[in-house]
Amino acid sequence: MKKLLLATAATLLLGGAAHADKTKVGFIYVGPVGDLGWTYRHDIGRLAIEKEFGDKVETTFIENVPEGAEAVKQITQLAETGHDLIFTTSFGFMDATNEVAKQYPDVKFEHATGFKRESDNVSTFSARFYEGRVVQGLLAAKMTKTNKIGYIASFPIPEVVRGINAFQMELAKHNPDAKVDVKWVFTWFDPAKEAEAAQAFIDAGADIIVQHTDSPAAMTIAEKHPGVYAFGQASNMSRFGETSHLVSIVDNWDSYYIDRVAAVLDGTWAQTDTWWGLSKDGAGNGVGMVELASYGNLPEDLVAEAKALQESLRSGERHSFPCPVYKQDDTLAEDCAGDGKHLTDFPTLVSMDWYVKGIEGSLPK
Amino acid sequence: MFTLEPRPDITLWTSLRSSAIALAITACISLLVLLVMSDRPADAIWQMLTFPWQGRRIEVQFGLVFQQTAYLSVIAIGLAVGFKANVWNIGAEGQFALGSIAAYAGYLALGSPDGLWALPFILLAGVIGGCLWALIPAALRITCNTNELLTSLMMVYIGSHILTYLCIGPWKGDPKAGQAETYPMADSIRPEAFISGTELHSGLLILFAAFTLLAIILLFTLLGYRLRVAQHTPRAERFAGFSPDNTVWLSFLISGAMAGLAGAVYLTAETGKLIQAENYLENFGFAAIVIAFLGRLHPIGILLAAFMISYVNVGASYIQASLGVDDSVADLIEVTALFAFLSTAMLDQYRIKLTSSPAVKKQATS
Repeated sequence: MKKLLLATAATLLLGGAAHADKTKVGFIYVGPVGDLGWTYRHDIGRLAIEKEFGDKVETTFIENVPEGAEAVKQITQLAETGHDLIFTTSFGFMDATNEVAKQYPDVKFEHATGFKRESDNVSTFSARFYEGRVVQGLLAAKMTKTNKIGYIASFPIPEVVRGINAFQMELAKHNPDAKVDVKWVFTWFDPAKEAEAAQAFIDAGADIIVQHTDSPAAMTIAEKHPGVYAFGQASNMSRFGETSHLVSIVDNWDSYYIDRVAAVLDGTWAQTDTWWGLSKDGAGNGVGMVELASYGNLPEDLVAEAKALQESLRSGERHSFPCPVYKQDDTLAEDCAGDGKHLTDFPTLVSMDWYVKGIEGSLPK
Repeated sequence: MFTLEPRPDITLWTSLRSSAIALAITACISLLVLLVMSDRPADAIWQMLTFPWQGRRIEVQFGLVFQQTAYLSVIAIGLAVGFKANVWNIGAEGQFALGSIAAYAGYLALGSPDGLWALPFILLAGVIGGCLWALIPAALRITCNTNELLTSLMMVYIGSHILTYLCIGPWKGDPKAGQAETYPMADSIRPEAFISGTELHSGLLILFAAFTLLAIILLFTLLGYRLRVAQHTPRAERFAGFSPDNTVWLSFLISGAMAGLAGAVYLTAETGKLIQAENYLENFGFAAIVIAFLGRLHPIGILLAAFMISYVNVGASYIQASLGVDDSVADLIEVTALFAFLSTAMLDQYRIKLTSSPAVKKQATS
């Protein structure tokens, strides 16, 4: 009873006035805002929301949230403190997001790169980063002298596997002798580990470093070795590789985030599963979630070729996985049987767990 | 000039007084920290104090507080046994990890059962795992006379690497999980939440039961008396019929068992699976060292300290979500409290006396 009285008093004193009319948007980040990669780009998206909606919204972020039991607690705290819309921006928050969402049906949840939507208030969104990998595959094929390419991979989830496969297919098309060596580091953000992997590749003779991790550490290692090139990931990393940076795949969440907040504000928010690439619809319309930034250290004709490829991917003129696609064991992918033109989103790409032909080694199982 | 003079009488009153001074110092510095770290300091301070009543569901906030209190107090009371007897096990975090690992091994050894009958065996496996890991630094101290402070700490890092190795290697679960983890245990053997959506689950009762049991042993039995005697002099220890070696063994055994039990409960109740170390371990094992000292190595003190620190931690996570104040504020408050309590503990045993200058004093005594 005493608790109840106190609670009422406290709510009357503070709860009411402070944030009555503002829509509260919360973010859970897996890394620090200053990772200069993945989390940094999500935070740029958060700032875009503030800029777009001004006083109508209030945003909060919690950074460095581990993907274990801790995630549930932090997401719960955002829901508890009156947030109306919560973005959880790492694949590993999938179960935690769904668990908390069931407890707070009036709060909307947006989970990045996942596929579980167990209650009506959970949406998922992801980007077709692999469209950028196609362009990287072309550049790597033309720029490598040793024909050895090191690929730093985080976790064997479909998103990462799609990137490796898209890269390999375009690489093999232009330079069949080049070999991709994949190293799984089992982390998204660990500059020391990422740097170590890059160094190991370079020591083994690789002159192109590709990464699917979040920090610019690999780029800084490549920069120390003349003749070694690297691709930026998640954000524009050109400033870390003056003589080594070829192009960055940049995540652009701004337009999606603004769309979703607008939907909450006007009451039209509904569950969706969104997947944008260089354009929104894959046919050249709208600003998508993927950009290629700062082509550099490349011959001019190659830049032109890469930009043309980028444009054809954006306009939908060509697909990232055109048939025929052969798996590692030389069998034809199911989607390419008959008159299939390219791999399909469902069920192939969303759950991709196999390598295409030409990649050595096996996926961690 | 100040000098310290031993107090002839150490009473409950002096203890309480020094605790109160420490609390006041902690509160003052915490206020300063919040003033600096928040752009709405008044809100931050008020919400930090009253957060359970600020959120949407009071039971969620108290659930988080009680959950942390349970883990911290059960590990801390185990450590306090050794600390009292000058045996320094600071590796509870590793014993917690090995407790979890052993519990999962027990689960696998029983053939991944889905009946509740298996839970006691799984918890027992965790206790044994924690004990065995703790016995390594104990054995090194007794046979090689190594400093257990260093070895027990080193074993934490080995233990957490073993945890990650198992998740990446032999016990690897779904590779699509986005982090290295094992396959989850059957839901049916996991302690259920009493109130849906809160951290209040039956696993906490097991932890509090273990805490109470050890508290009773320490306060009211001969064994507890012997351990307390060991604190003062090794000779008294021998008179009490106890060799120093046995004190070392027993201290590590008890603290390892408590940390191992906590690890096993954490596995079954919180995660249901092992996860790579940096995402699995929440630093309960290290925080418990602080709790043991804040609680003056006394069971009741430990319980109060665990509650206080948990309240601060959850409060910090609350104001992080509501006001965007970084939750490192909790660490700052915790460390402030530790310094305040350790330094005022001195006032228990000594009294500060104002004297004339040392030179004059020297003359006077010669």
